[in-house]
Amino acid sequence: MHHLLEGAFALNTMNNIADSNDVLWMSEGDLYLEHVFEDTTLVYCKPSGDTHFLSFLPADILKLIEKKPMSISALHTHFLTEYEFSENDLPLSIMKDAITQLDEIGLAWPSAADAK
Amino acid sequence: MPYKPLNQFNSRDLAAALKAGSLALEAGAFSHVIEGRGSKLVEFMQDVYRDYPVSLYPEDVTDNIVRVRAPNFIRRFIRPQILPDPGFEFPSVPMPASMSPLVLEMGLNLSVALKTMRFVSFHAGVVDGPDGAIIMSAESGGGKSTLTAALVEQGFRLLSDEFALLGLDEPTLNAYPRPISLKNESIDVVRGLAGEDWISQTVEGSPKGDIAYRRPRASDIADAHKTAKPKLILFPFFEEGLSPLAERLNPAEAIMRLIPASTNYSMLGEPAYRSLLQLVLDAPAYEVSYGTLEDSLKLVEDLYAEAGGNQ
Repeated sequence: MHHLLEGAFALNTMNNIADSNDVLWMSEGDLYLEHVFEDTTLVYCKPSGDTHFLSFLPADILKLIEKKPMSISALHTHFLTEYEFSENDLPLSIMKDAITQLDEIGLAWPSAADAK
Repeated sequence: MPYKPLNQFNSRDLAAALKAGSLALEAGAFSHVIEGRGSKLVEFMQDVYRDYPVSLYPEDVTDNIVRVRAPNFIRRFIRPQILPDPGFEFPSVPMPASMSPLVLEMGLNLSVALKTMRFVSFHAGVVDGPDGAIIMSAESGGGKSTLTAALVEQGFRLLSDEFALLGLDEPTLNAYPRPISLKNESIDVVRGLAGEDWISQTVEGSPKGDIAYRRPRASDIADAHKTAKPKLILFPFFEEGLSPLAERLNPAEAIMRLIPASTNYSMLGEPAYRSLLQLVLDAPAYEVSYGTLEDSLKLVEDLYAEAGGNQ
């Protein structure tokens, strides 16, 4: 029971982190190998040994947060500007989902400053 | 003791070596020590493995030991049963002793599937033609073995009916020619193509239905040291009545289909990823579906030619 509660708490905490627009997210290019095929990116995650398919959005997010940690709202703003999307085209929830997915597969994580 | 073709040994010596667990068999990339009892096992090996190099008392190191053994002492004598023992814990349902050919083949497959570290292994039939190899990866019942056997009849060299063995340093394919496993209707189909002499006795009533084996040619065994360059990757799907169709796959889709078919990808990690990636970049991949063997052969002929190979 304790473990179940602990697991539920951890999941809740993770969702809260992704829900927070202030947390800075980061990644490291040394931790994965990528190969771009037209509109999809194949990524091999070295720590987990898993291979993933990424669409352009999470693949581009990875590239950005690898250069410098960014918050979800900053990423959102970047994509709205860069690709001239409207809020309807790219709602903030999609950005949160993409970060959550990258977090779950071990390719993105909150920066150390936020962890403190 | 030196390796000689199995058909140069008599039944008594073969049975004694099998009982002692000292019969070493070379099959391309792997050498196995085999242990087992019973005339059925000896007869099967004398038929299907007749051209393979064996040593009855090997001095060299072999890749693994496969035992065909009773699950317990009682089952050696009362309603005898056997199971494959590849040298590690593996859940196996005991089978009647009359199914020793099937159990031996299962044991050899398990040992290669779960203990191979030198190659990326994935479930596939592989044949080599004049301009490169064709990899056929399919789930059980997808028609892979029938197609592999039919291509062998057309002159392709058999690398394997069960495993594609891809090098880790470079994506070349290594041969592991073992008997081609045929199930149910495909037994008569391949018997019609190859001739009666090339097909083993049928093991009836196995969990997968009736099973028989197409014996590899002596030339496939003799050439097993030769590697092959991948030319074409196919994901075949057979269903009676289907119209022939070939659909080109993006390399990323191809690799994502090969990974689940691999038995050791997650254990090998990054080198396996790099090797598979190079494979899908080098060789075009297609999903092919068909309803007859004739249609499948025509599809393969066209795709092989398109990939730059001459059939």
